[in-house]
Amino acid sequence: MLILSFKKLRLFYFTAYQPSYMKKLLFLFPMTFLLGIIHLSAQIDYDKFPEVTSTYLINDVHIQKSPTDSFGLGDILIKDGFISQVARNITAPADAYVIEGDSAYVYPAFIDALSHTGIAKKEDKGDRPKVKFQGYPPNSVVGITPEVLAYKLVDPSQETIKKMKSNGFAVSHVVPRGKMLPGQGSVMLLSGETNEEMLLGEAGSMYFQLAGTRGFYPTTVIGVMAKWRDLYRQATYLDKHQAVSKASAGPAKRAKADKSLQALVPVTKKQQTVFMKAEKAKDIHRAIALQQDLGYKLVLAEVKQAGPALDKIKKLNIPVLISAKLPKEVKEKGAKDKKDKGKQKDMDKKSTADKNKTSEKPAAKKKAKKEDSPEVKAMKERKKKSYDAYVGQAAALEKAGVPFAFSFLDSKPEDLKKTLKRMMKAGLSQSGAFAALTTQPAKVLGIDKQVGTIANGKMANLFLTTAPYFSDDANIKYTFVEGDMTEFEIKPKKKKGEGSEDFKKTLAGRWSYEVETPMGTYDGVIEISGDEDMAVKVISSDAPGDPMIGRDIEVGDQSLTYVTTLDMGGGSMEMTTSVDVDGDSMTGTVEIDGMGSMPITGTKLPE
Amino acid sequence: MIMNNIKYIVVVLSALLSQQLVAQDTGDVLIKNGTVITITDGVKENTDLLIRNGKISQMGEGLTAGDNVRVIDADNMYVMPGIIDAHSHIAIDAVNEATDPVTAQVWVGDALNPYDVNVYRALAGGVTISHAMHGSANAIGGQCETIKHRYGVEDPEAMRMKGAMRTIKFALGENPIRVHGEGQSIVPNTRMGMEQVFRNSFAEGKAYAKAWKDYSSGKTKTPPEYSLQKQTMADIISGDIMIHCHSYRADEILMLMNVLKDYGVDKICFQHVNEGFKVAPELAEFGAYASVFSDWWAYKFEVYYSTAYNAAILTKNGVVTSINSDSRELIRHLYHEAAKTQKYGGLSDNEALKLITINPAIQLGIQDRVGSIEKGKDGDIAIFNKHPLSIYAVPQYTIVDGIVRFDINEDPIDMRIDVDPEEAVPAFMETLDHSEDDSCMQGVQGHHHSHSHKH
Repeated sequence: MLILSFKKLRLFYFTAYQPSYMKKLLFLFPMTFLLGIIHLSAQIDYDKFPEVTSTYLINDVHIQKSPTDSFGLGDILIKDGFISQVARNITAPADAYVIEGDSAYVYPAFIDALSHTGIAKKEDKGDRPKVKFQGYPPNSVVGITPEVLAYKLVDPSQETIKKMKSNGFAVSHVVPRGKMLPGQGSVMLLSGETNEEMLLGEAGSMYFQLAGTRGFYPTTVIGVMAKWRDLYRQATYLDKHQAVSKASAGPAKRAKADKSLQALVPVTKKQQTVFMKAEKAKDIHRAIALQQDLGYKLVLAEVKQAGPALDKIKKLNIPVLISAKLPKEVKEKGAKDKKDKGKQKDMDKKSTADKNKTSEKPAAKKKAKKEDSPEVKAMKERKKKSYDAYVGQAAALEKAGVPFAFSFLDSKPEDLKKTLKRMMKAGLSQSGAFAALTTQPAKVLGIDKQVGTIANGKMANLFLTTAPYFSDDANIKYTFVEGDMTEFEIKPKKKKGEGSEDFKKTLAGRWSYEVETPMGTYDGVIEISGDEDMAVKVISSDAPGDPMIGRDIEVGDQSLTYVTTLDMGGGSMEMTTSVDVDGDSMTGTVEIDGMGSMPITGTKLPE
Repeated sequence: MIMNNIKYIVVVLSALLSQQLVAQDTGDVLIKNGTVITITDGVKENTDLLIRNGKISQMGEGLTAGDNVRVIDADNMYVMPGIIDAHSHIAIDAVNEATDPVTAQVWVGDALNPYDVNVYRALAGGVTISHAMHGSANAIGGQCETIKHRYGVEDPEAMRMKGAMRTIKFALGENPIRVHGEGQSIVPNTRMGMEQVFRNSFAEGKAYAKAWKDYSSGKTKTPPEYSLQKQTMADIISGDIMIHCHSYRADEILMLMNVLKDYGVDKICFQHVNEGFKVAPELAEFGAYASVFSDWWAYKFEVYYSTAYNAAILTKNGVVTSINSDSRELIRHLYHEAAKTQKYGGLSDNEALKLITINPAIQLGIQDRVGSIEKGKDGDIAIFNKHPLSIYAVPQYTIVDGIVRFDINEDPIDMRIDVDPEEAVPAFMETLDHSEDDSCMQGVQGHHHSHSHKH
């Protein structure tokens, strides 16, 4: 009821701010004033489209009901958050908001099987905690906080939530950030005004990483593994102890209260599953060794190298979440940016056309590399093989009959489609890709009865694209989360491939820029040279003597993207700048990995 | 007939039930016409050696093995048991959990790294088994792991020598005092404090074992607080774990033996033990073992009083002695290190070779399975072109469980198994640099290479 009243409230506000409803505004004033107090505390998003009805009819769309079941053209009726009908030619109920699908495509919304969506990064102040003995630090110092519940940390207004949703996700299994045992996971709907409203259910998961804390026990991987054995067994005996104390008629020594151990008891009773980050094959073996030793339920997460452990995973039937992050793509054309020269160029095959082009330019000719030695060649070949195995991991798992879902601890949702396409190029089937984002994560999280497919009675979690999902010109226009619709603006299509030579000429020169940050406005100059080898140099007014060099430069039709690294002495920060250029002005965003984005504007300076 | 069928069914069933996660790879090899140095039963010339299913099955003349068995012509070559290194830090991803003077609960066997190319390089020096040890930052460091050099396997479990005795690292002297006493201003800050750390831990282990005994016999109703550290100390007291103790000075060695006597512990191998020559009779009387360097000292204050005669003196006093590497470089020529005892101390060929075969096997509690060429023992063999104690000796083949893991004729340039898909190729070139980061002090905070040492 409370939710419903909020939704109504939003309608009032929406109408109230429209000029044509001025009269209504006057009429409603006393009531809105009253409710406004609640309203402020609930932090409702004013910009959001108001929900005028909870009934939607999506007409005339291609419906992918499940990874393997394509319904063809039909209609979908959504009522009160659930899918009430999937059929051809449904008559619109009187209260339905009708979306004319116009032969668009509808898919079950994606489910993220593990991520930190909505949970902000903790600021590392670099303070060394005051601990008397390095060997006996308090649990919190070394990241042992299994009592923490993820949903309590979720900020519903966080950018990452919107990003997930705009890329087709409706559900995230979120876990806290941290070190060894950051806490328990929660399954969140990516819609709702408060974190409690978002909560679909406790995931019954405990997040575990082989991550020590420098300077305190446990520091090393062997320390973490020993500590886990200790904690697990202590929790087991704590439970036994409490049972004895409860049942005992005579005096029985009371068990010491310990919130961390108490939180681990459900794991020892197999009521909770350990989701363990295990990127490399060695980590997987270690995760399995501990599981075999202690006997809890295990899910392997953020897996990047399942290959060498595949037989074991299969034999033990351990659920796998593979990383949605792939190594930087090896392009089949000459690498252009400087950083790539050492790293990636080895695998690039310059096309003949490229070669012809470079030979015309004396500057490029100078850079022609001498032939690799046989040893280096062999090493590059091996690296390529390893790269192929990484990109081909999903296909290999599918081939081996090991079901898997995706975890997003280290990747951006907007890169997902690109990543999937690379995996599919390496052999993953389309239905396999969809399953890994819908039915399989639902199964791993134990919510497959509610979500994961488009079917009568299932939660209305789906998204609509203007073309088949994997086609180049597909754009997500709507995402429904529990029947809550979000519409996305579709930006005009940009031309694929590199920007035209003319545009490069437009870019070339000096641009003044301003970035709005929470700490204030920063400005400086961007120097762009637009010849064959694009180069970007960012000179901040704060440190004019220490320019940042842009890499991973991509020139679109009327856009520019590059990555810079801000060296902060000891640490560094990766920033991705994406701007749209219109004549002499540019606007866009600077994105700091995992920390959100800040607006940037620029103006071309006269020569 | 029926009995046979039943037997067959039982065998198949038990094989299925044991649910082996890792199939242990073993092989067959026939080594022809070699000079076989058995270590325990003399040297046998022009002798064939047959390994079947990973075990030494036959020794003699004119042996045949069928078409599918690889035959190595060892004419003019020397066939000896695979070399065993009782002290190394290869194939593990963590060496020191240097946060506490006592970390008996940690175990380097948790962090085995089958991809470490140093395992292959050790094979190229004829070494088939090494003792992957915790470092010496703590008085009581972590438990160690005896590994077989099955380079090529990718499952860490397959690196373990299953059934090998459990071992743990202790350390005396300057390292723990510097890391904890000076580093954290806690006990131990002196050699007196060191003794107290050992006594406290043994006392705790003893009390812990009793508390659990009382609980499991029903004498007490509620379980004691579980502690893997105290449990490990209890396991040392009960004789399940052999101590391998980093040591230099004679006074400290005597001190630790006195502590052990008080707690009835008798399984100990002193490592480095540079002043062992001063207390050789006492070591022999206690039944302690010694694992030493051939000729390496003066890398810090407590290691000045040393001699290259150490191994020979210990041997002549009846101490089971081995020569170890503690280094991914030395591990490739332990046969040279052993040969130095002939120059310094005049040990016989067999005495010298025992230092790197059966003696380290005894020190690791695996002498029933390896360390000599005997029927029924593991098919771990090193084959040299010259006598292994000759300065001209070059290892030709190294065999582990009947599988040829090193063959000098098939020795590709790049023997890495796991290649980082995102690595910059020059980074690999850099790793060829023999930086000595296998130090016992790896992972210790504030430890810089400028004043680094290995022991």
